[in-house]
Amino acid sequence: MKQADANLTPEEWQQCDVGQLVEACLDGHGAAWEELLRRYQRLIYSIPIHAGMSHADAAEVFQTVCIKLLKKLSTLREQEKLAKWIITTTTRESWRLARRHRADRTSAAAKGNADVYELKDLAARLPLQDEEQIIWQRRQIISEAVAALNDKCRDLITLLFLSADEPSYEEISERLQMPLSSIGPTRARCLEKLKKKLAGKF
Amino acid sequence: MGDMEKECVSFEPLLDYLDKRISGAEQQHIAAHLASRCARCLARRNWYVDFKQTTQLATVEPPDWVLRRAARLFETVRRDETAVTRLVQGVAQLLFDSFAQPLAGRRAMPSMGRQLLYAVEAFNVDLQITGATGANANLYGQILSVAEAGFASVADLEVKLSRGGKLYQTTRTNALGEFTFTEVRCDTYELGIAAKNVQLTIADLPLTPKN
Repeated sequence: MKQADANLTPEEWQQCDVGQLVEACLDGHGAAWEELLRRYQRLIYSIPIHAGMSHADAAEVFQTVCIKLLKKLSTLREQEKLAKWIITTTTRESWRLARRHRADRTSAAAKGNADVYELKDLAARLPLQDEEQIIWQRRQIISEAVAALNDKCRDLITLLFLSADEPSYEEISERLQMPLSSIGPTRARCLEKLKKKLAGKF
Repeated sequence: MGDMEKECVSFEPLLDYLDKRISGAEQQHIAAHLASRCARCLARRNWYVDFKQTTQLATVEPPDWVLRRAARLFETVRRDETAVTRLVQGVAQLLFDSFAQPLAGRRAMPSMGRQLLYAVEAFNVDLQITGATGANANLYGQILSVAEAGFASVADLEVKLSRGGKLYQTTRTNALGEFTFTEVRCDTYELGIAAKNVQLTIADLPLTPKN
C-alpha cells in the first residue's frame, strides 16, 4: 500500500484503511478527510433520519458530528472504533438537538417550524439499543466491503440489495446492460467475493 | 468430504431458493438438503439471511451542500487546533539542571558540561551543553516520547534554535531523536521542536558559561 501523501488519486485514497486516512488527516491532507466523509456520510446522516428527524436537523447533526470527529481523529485509528464512535456520537447529538427544539417549542411553534419532535417518539428510537448499534456497525461494514468490489459487482450488489427502489431483474438488466440470464450467476459470484471480503468482520 | 457435503447445493440455486425464485422439484430438493443439517449449506444460508436483514437498513445520502460544508471544516478546525497547540509551547518544565544540582562531592566547574532535562507535553528533552567557556558552545540533545517505547515519533523532527525572535540555526533529529548544534555563539536561546501535532518550545535556554 502506497504511503498516504498529497499526490494520491481519489482511487488510491479509497484503497487506504482508516488508520492511514486518519494519519493523513493529522498530517494535513484534506483529501484524506474528504475520503473519510465519503465513507461515513451515509452512516452519520441516516441515524437522525431513521429516528424521524427532518433533513434540516440531520444536516445540523451531520455538521456537529464532523466537527467533533475532526477533533477526536487521533484517537480513532481503527475502523471498528471509528464506526462505534460515529454511531454513539451521532445518536447523542440527535437527542441533544431534539431536546433543544423542545426547549424552544413556544417560539418554534410561533414561527411555524415543524422541527419540534415529541420526545417520547424519539425516545422510542434514541438512544439506540445495543442490537441496533450492532446492526448499524454491520451495515457500515457491508457498505465499505461493497465499495471495495470491482465495478461490475459493486453496481450489481448495490442494485440488488442496497437500492431504495428495489429494481427488478429486468430493470437491472437494462441499467447495467447485462443479459437477464447472467444476473443470477453473476450475483452468486459477486456475493462469494463479498463474503470473502467480509470474512471475520461480519 | 462427507456424503452430505458431496450433495451440497451450489450457491446460485441456494440463493434462488432463499429468494423464493424457484419452485417444484428443485425447491423440494434444496429444502430436503437443508433439513439434513448440512453444515456447509446451513452456514451459507445463515450468512445470506444475515446479510439481507442487515441490508434492509436503508441508508440515506446527505445532500451535496452538507458534504461540501463538512469538507470545508477541515481547514477551519485545523486552524483552530493549531492555535491551541501553540499555547503549549511555553509549558516546558525544567526537571533537572546539573549546575543547580551538582553531583555530590564535586563542585560544578564552568568547563564541565551542563545537563538540562525538560518535560513538555508527552516528551522529555535531554540537553547537554559543552564547551561553553569561550565564545561558542555545543548543544547535544535528545527528545524522547514518554508514550512510546521506540523512537518512531521523535525521528526526523525539525529543531530550531532562535535568538531574540530570529532563527539562528536549524537541524533535524536522527532516527533516535538526537540532534546537535555546534559552535553556537554563547547566548540565551529558544529551542523549538516540531513534534507530531504539537510544537515544543524551551524558552531561555542558557548556552552560556556558568558565572
